[in-house]
Amino acid sequence: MAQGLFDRIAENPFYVLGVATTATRTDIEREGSKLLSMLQLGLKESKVYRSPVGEHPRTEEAVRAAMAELRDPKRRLVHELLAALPTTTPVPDAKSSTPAELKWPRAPLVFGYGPERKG
Amino acid sequence: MPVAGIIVAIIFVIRALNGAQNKGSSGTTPAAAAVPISRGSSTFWQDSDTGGTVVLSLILFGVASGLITVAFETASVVSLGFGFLAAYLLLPAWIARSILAPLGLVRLAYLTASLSRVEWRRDKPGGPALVAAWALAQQDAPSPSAIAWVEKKLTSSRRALQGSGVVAYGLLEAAKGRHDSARDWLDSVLFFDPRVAPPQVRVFAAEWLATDAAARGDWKRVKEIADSRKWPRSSTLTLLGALAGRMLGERLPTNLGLWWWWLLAPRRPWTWGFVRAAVALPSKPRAPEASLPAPPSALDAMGKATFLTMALKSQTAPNAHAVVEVARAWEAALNADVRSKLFARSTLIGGGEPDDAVREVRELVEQALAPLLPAKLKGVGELPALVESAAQGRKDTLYRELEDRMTRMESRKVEQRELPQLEEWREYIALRKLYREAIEAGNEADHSLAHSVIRDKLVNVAVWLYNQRLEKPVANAMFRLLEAEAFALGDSDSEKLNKKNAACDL
Repeated sequence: MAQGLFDRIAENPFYVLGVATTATRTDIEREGSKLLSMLQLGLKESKVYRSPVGEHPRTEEAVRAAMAELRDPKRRLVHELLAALPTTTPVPDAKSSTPAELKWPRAPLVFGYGPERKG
Repeated sequence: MPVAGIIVAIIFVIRALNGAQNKGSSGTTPAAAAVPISRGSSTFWQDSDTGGTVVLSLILFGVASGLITVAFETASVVSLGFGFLAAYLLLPAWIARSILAPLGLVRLAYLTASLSRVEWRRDKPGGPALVAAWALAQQDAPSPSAIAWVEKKLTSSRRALQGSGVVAYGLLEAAKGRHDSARDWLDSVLFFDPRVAPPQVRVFAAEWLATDAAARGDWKRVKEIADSRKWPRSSTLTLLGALAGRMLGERLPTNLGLWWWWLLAPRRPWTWGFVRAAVALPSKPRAPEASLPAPPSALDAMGKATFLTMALKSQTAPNAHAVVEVARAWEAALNADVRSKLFARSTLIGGGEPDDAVREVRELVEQALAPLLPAKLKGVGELPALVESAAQGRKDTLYRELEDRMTRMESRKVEQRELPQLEEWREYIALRKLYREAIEAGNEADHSLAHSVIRDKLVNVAVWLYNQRLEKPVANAMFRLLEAEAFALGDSDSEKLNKKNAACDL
């Protein structure tokens, strides 16, 4: 996956600030200020935000950048489109559907076709 | 002592007779019908030396059994020694493969296999190099000097390249840790006519490829190899095929069947643990890795598209259907409704350009999906606009590369710039891979277009390889591809020509 779309979804300002796409400008400013205060105080619950792909570290820079992005109506429309998936919807990880026991890294070694495969 | 003298004398006489028969032939592939094909081929009885080999084998068998019997009766160490020497000369290929190679004795395995008058009689140095390369595979960390030694034996050959040489080189690539390259080389043994890639050669390639796929957890590929009639049968492949069936959740084999194939396969103490684990797995179909999960129905179109995109991202090797499904979801999400919604939103938030926002998201999706588009697009139907341009771009690149490579090959032929035989085969593997990718990326018309690129130029290269380089098996592999492709596309002229060329002696 190219980083562009994935990053834009994972780092969406609405997820960073933890606000709905329908939030007003006032709501956004209030939530941003609150998060900045909490981060300055080092409160644990403010240090992480959720996106549909999991948890990510929240920093003061990220909060300020998110607030700035959402102040611009042009940028905000794009972010609204990319924040359509609620953070509460779990996205299944297909990688975990290939259990380790289904691989046989020792097969080449066992049958005399090279050493055990790593990784 | 007189017995040893007799054996030596017989060897010299037979060598002299062979020399007389081969008089006039060059160091490369002789032009006559009795060409250096493998003794494992389907035409081995045409070999003019069959009689001599049978006579020598009978004599060696008599001498070996007689001397070993005498040694046990008289407790003579000398007789036993000469008895074993005769047995060694009688069965060098078997000793090399069954004793020396499993012990990892690279050089000794090579030298012993070189004495073979049956299995590798007309397949040297490819056959012995193959056994030596397999001996290297027994080592945990093959030494670079041993790899170089076998490679030198292989590359200094003045005989025509056959399947054994290609498999030997594939195993050497694996010994160097270049597994992707090894896969290409070992798979390419199927390009040869079976007469120059007999079962005892192909089985090495099949077993390496199957164990490699099992190590990666690619059981579909293991099953494909085990079930394909192109690859020879072996008890190892049968066990791996049965395990693959279980891993893929097929109804067969049953647990009893799995243990039965385990019993028939080699190296039972080392395979027991994995077979036991496989038996414990339920025999029920598993969801294919490449299928995407259904998005929650409560989501709107944009939410569903985002959900599918994230699910696609988590896949290691998404298939064409999955990528197209995601593209279609985005096409549905970025429709007129979303524009209307965005117009309403822009009024509420005091600005913004809905069309620009949709365009930006489309571009992001295009950029994200383009690298995920698999090479095989056949059978996915009409492509959504979001991936069509990426697919077209990739197709154009493939055709350009195919044309460039074909032109370079033909230029070499025109300028008589020869490559070493293994490099020549590497070029052909690369060309064939590009050709396959080009036709898999398109439709029937694209298939014809790709064929037109190689149709005449590859014939010219193959004829050059056949007539001047005397690399008849390699040329034959090219003729066979062209014949099969011409048949598939209904090009009767090309089919007729290449059928005639492919029928020429090897």
